[in-house]
Amino acid sequence: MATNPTPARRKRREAAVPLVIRSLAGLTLLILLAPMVIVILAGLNSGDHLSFPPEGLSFRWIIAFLNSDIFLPAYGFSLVVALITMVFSTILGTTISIFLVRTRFVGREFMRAFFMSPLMLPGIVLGLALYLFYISSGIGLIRTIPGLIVGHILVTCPYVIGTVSAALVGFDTSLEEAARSLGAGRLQTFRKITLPVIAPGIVAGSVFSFIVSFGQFDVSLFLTPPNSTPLPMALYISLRYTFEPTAAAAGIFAIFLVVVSMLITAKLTNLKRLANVNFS
Amino acid sequence: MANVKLSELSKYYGKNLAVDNISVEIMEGEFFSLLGPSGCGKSTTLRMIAGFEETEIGSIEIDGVDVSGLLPEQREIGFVFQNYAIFPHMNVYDNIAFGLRLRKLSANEIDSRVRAALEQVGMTGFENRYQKEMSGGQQQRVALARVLVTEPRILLLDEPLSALDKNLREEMKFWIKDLQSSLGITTIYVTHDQGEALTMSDRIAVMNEGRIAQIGTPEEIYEHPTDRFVTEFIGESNILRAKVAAVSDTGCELDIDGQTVSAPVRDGILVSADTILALRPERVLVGEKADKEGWNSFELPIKKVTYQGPFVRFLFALGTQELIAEVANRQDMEKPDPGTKAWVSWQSDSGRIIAE
Repeated sequence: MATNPTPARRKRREAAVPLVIRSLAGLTLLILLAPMVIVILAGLNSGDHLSFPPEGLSFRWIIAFLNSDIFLPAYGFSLVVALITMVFSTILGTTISIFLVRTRFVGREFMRAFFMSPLMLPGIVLGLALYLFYISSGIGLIRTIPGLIVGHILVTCPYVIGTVSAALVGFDTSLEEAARSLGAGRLQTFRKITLPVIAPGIVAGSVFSFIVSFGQFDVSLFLTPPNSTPLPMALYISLRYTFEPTAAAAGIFAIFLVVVSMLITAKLTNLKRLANVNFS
Repeated sequence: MANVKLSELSKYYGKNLAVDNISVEIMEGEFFSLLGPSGCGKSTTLRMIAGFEETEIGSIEIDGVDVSGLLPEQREIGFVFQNYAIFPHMNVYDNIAFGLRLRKLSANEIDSRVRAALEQVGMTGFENRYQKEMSGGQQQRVALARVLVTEPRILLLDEPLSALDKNLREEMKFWIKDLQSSLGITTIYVTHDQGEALTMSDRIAVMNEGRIAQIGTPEEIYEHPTDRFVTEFIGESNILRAKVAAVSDTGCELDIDGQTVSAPVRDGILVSADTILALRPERVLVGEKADKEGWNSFELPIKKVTYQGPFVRFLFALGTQELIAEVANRQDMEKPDPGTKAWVSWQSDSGRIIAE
């Protein structure tokens, strides 16, 4: 009897994801990655002008960036603002999420939409609104670092609220009840059970807020203090007048920072998973 | 070890009465089950005892002390959840040590108690496992070890077997019962599964719509259900509409669609009143004529015969109603065909006249 493996067997080899979807995903990835590759190559250009493809490769503009009295301080300023923003957004976003997820009251959905609204509003509108508010209220935040950070917190907090709420919605409250019943008080239960379990959501939210704050342009436009310029604005201002590859070099450092923070998160979550498996 | 006394306990959710005036005393060392369909208030009652739900009406006493105002962490109660609630970010060892560390015991004492608890539940060697790496049954054992290690005054179990598959459920049923009796710990067990309640309990409270319908030993609940709800909820019963034909001191005669049947008497029944006769299917014998004093025996047409493995189920036409009989599946049994007639017999006092 001749065995005929063809139709049935061949079907088994069918990919889990159809070719169309895989090609689209690949194309999207390419479109997303291409600008990054261009910036990196432009920053390593040995020529005098910002151009692509580069005339030759050198660290000339990297060194120029490191010696620049515009870009390096701007980079440092953005970094500090992003770190402070991240800390506040994480704490505020986490507490707001707990409140929104755990309590039931009329207008809760409205309040959630309100907290998330900075995501929907154009940054330019938000920046302008804050600027006008600072001026008319006279609370002394116009073009100050705290004023800028408040604006960044407003924009980044929704990311934390989003990720932490998702973690809390999936959180099994019987874990807390179990801890209480075993003798833990409310705060102990929160510290030892709730917080570690929702930690991945909190970490993801804070990384988002760091990255969004670091790259923030439109809100910063209105709120930046006179003597300090965040990196995105410094890049914009510089490129309006000169076409120097230092800007692209600064871009390389910005990409590097984002990639590093992503890797750190991935590592943190992965380590946890690894630990789970290794000890078994 | 402790006794628990619930007095006139009620619970409202908004305008909904979830628990309706429950009073019961659970003895020291007793295995007590709250049994009922979902939404009957059994879990709410258990969660009130644990302190997860506030007690607003009535009181809960443990060893004579009212605990209704205490927080869960002050009650010294062990609670095992339906989903086990193993802390996912801690390994088995840390899960079990959790309660002991809160009590600020020395590291040595914690270590020896955790190891003893692991041995007690047969989970030695699983110290470093995480929740995701364990089966339901293993998580169940860890959850029990985690509460028992803190030496709680009472143990509360909320449907602990419902997430397990059937074979494991059977095994765990006996294992939990054995563990409980060897520890002698007062246990309150919530379930919707009558098999679990009947097998494990010293006493059962059958609950319906927030109220306790009946309290008794498994045997009392099964053999002498006091109302229609308990009769139908526990085991299976034929519920036959009947008219009272005659009443005497020793029994009564009922007319079921023209068939006269004798049954035990019940207080307050009157001749020619409508009533209900409840009869367990396994009490009905098929195929033999029982011409004895105190037996009902007559021929009925068979409507359907169903093979069910350990027993065979017969459906008879009794007037316009149906009578179900379940007969143990023996090799030598007769299996009459549908359409033919067969003798059915039951001892008259195995029937029960119930209140609506």
